[in-house]
Amino acid sequence: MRRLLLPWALAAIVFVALPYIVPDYYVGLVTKMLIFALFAMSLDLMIGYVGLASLGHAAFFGLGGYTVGLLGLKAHVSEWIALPAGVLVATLGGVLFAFLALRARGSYFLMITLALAQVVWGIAFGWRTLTGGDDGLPGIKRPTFFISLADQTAFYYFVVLLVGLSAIALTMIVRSPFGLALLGIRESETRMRALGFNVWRHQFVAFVFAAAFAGLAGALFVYQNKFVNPAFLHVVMSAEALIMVILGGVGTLLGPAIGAGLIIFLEDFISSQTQRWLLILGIIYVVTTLFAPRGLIGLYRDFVARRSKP
Amino acid sequence: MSKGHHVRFAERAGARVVAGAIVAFSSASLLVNQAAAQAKPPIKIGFIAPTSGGFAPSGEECILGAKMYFEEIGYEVAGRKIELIVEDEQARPDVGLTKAQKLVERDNVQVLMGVVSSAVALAINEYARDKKVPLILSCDAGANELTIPGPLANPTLVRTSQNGRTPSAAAADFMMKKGWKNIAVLAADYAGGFDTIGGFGAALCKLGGKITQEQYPPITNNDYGPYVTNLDQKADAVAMFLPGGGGLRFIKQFVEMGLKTKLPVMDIYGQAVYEPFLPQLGDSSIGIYSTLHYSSAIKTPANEKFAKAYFERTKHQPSDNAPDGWVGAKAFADAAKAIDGNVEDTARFIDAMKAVKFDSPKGPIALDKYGQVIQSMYVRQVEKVGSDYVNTPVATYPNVDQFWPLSFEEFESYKYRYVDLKGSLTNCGKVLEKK
Repeated sequence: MRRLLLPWALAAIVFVALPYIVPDYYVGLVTKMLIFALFAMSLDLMIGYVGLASLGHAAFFGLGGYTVGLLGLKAHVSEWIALPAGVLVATLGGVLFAFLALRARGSYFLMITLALAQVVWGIAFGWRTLTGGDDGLPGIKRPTFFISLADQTAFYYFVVLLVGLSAIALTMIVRSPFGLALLGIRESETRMRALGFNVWRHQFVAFVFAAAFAGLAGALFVYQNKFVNPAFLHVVMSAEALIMVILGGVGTLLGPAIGAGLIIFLEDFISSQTQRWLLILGIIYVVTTLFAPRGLIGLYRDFVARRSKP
Repeated sequence: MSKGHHVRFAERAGARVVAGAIVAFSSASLLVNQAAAQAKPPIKIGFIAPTSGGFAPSGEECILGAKMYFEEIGYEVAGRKIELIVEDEQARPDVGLTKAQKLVERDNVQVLMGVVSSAVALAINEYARDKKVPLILSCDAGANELTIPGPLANPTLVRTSQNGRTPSAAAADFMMKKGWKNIAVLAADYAGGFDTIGGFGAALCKLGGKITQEQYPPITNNDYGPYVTNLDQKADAVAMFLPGGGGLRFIKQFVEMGLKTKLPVMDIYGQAVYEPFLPQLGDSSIGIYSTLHYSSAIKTPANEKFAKAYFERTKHQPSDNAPDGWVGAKAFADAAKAIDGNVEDTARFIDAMKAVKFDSPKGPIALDKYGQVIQSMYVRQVEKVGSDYVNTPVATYPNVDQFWPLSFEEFESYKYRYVDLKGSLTNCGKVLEKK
């Protein structure tokens, strides 16, 4: 038991100590990594555990973000209401999308989620009086929950707390009997149906959960950036999350989180070094797909398995 | 992978610790680098411009323009070396903001410069204001509100490139002088489009003209046939703002349908007759009017020298982006020189920026009290010179400010902002309604 707890304790210490070790800029960057880790984990719930690849996940990210931004900026609502409302609106968006999209499978599901997300994007882009169109909504304030989170370090701890709790919640979901049933559905829908499971209802609940966590990530990202813009719910954002999940390792939760952190770090780091950074990122993706089809986590596991053999 | 949920605790956490350690180590080594700074430190400029994606050509030209000026002065001003750190904004606001944070907090730049996308400028603006870092918008980012008193105004921001409405005002004035009073307009369906065409409509109404028809094709539109067919042919002329290749396609279909001999075309901002597009348009581009704050064919010693140097490096004519970058760099250097290189004193530096006055490839440059450039507007017409197509200036509006032909007070007295006038531009009563 002690061996199991040690790495977690170490990780906790690193996350708590980070603002004392690294300059402000990296605290901001790690905050962004954590937020995208949550976003990627929520998408992994869909891809890895339900087996439904979505190209519209950024819609929930953006719904959460726009709700928080609009309520704070236009309605001057307290953050105690705005943040939960952001998650709630994303959840309701998830309910609506699930009703429409869960009729299809495979690439058709991909297309429907893409189309639905583009509708949300179109509204954010076109409804200028409400959303500010493609200028977005600048000037959103960081929230105050007991203490002011305007300072980057304080906000970082807030994000560590919420992303940590969400990660625990997601882990509990996928390890619960419900999560096991999802895995069963991913492997064979017909068999699970024959066993008496309501396949559609399981998928529906997982879809809504994924939307809710994506909404939380989006709300946090808006607070981090202090503005919201249609780019937050664009298909590029959805595709980026998809790459994070695939790079990290589908169906592992921790893998997508690492994939998210790594991609945010690489995008920032390599693009500062060279103008050819897109080429380098592309090569990294291709190499990962070729040599680590199960993602970085898969690679790590193969490595451990090989070493433990005599 | 069906055993995905059986991952052992230890290996998950192990991976997380490794990731954390990588971040910690790499940043620690960067800290050491920063400590080794010199006694008389260089001035570091963070240049934010897209070098990937659809905006990359504008970004790269703007960067080159700035580099050409810094090379002229040997990357040195008031005894301090100038260090230019270029970051790719990718025309994505969240990326632009992260890059600005990186430049200010990690590279410790004293000044931010560049920015092509207005969305990125809006995202960075607030951050620069909070950190009190001077932000010199020297590339395309033209959102009007950034330099007009209001919620977005930023005391540490100056813009040496352009704004959205002035080329529109020049277009309206020129068309009225030509006697074209009834104008059909087309603008791309996005914020920049409404801003530009709203500015045109307001100026036209003010001068006594009238918009007879508004059309808003989507920004990614490919087929302009329907818009050409719908065009109000009783109008005296067409004015349009269709950036990013849209203008090019519109002109092609406009010419194919034989309308070019019937209706003169005014291309606000010169998006269709953008220099790299002219060879594609060929003879159909001849005679098209456009308004912009630059033309490579301006006959002044400053511009002939610049255009020649630019052509030698790139083998093509500069558009407005390279001179914009050049002017931003020179304005910065002149201001830094005026305060003995002490750019860390933000308030004095911004005052010095607002006081610069010099001659440039674009014409004479000065700044107003809000930090927006006062420069010349050119009406250009495409001509064939030898085998090349050139935007030859046919009229000049020298030294116009951001509110021209209105005053600030008059500009502020109108009830509707330009972006809110979409669909009502044909109604001059509403356009000119007072608060």
